[in-house]
Amino acid sequence: MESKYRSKASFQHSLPKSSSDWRFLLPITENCRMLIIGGEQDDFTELFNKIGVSSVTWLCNPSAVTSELNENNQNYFDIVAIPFGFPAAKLTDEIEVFRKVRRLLHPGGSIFLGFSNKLGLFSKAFIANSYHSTPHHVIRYLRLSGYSDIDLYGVMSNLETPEYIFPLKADLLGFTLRHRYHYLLPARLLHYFSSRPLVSIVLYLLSYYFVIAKSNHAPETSL
Amino acid sequence: MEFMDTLTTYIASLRRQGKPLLSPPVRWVILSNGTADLHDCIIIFVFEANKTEPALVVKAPRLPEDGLALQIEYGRLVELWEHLGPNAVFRVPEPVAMLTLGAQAAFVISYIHGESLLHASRQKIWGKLEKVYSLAIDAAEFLRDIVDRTATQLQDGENVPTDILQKIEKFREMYHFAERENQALQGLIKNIESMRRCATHKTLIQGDFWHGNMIRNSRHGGLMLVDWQYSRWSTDVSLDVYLFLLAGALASAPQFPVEERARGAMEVLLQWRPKIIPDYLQAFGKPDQYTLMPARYGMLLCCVEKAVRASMDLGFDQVNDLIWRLLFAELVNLSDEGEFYNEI
Repeated sequence: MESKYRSKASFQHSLPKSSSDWRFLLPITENCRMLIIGGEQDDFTELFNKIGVSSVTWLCNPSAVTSELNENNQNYFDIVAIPFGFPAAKLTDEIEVFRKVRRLLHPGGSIFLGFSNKLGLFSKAFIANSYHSTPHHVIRYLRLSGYSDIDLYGVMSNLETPEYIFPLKADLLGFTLRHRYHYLLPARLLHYFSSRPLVSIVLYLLSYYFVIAKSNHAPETSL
Repeated sequence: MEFMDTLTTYIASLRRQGKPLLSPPVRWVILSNGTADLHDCIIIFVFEANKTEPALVVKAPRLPEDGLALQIEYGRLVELWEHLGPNAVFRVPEPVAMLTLGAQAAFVISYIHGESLLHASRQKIWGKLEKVYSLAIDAAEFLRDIVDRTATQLQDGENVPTDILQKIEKFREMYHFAERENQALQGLIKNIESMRRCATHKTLIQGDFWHGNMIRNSRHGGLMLVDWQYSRWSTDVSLDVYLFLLAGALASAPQFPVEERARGAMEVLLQWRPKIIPDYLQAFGKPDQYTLMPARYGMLLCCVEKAVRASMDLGFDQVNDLIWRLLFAELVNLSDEGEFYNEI
């Protein structure tokens, strides 16, 4: 913003448009090698360098995974993060993409994925062309693709700049709803919406989720 | 192990009087507020088993370089708790632990059950003079209680450090000023220097005393004050006393455009001038151990502090800083200046 009052403009606008607070969910260490898929390169490299992670590779979209997969980097990464999901991958492609990512990960490495829910109550909130599925399907396809230790997190209100992130438990969703809508809904209505029976259902009807899973494969020797 | 696991494992190990502080399993919700500043903290609500409300809150900086500010906040809260004694639990969150997990700092405090005035005040308070009056009196008495309880006699030759003169210099660097505004800044400097000679005590000011940092506790109904990262020892309490009024006036004014907001805030202050402002100041009372500037300079001091804070602390300006520069102009260029500042 320019102003007649200001000597020189030197504003820095807040958080990168693609928030990276999902990093708190991941086993990130100084020496870990990260591959981040999606978003803007500048959003991430500077941040992760600041927190001490020097090895950050960025790909603009999942279609580049295949080209990334070569003899030099198979079993190379500790973490592959796809925080905003794939652009509209077909279901038949999912397992293939998950498997390719798995080959990039070293054994025990983690995949991190954000996705929108086909069954979400607020489907209009979907990111255009974003990969969307259901929690059930994503867990199933990750298992079929050779992942284990799968953890699912609810995300409100969007993937790019989430307000709340929480393990998928009814009580935690209940609190999140009360905290989020305290000033917007009458107390009695909010009490009803955040009651345990209702949130137990809503838990699987959220618009967005994060999922983290570990690659449980032996090191790959061929592509 | 990821940060959240490390954090919850550590919190589960905390003990008080030999017993675990929280019943396991410990669970959490992250309040990320992804549109917040990169230099802001994420907030983590921590729950013990079978509880639907949090027991603790963890503040974790997004960037390691901001860990020091949390460390300072922790230190200040510990000092505050020592000074407030048994009253502390009714005034401020309890500092539970300051952790460094790997390279990640985390500050653990008790959760306050209640309603933040940041949101609640939009609908329920601003624009309703009787509600503003009631909150103002409540806030003034609350603030006076805290600064009185932390007031500590200055040792012989003790000089409480202040960087206000550097802030005024920075303010001058950042903006253009008309002659009248420059004179006002000169007056502010003179006032600060003369005030410093009058104090016999230092006190712990909060440094960001506005309604957004207040919570109305749902259990005892009293105000509680959070976010102590700007707190510091000072011989003058003007920043806390006048910031509450200015922030409230800004919240009551139309929000856009920014020039209109500053003008609107000034109109609100004029509206509050006959009763709310003098009664607020009277409820705080005249201090005799530490100092309180006249409103003319105290309000300008708040504008300077808020306008340069991000620039000095973070190294860059924030969009919202400009409003304080504009409000500074409004306060200096009041047409009926004498009447507004008379006897306050």
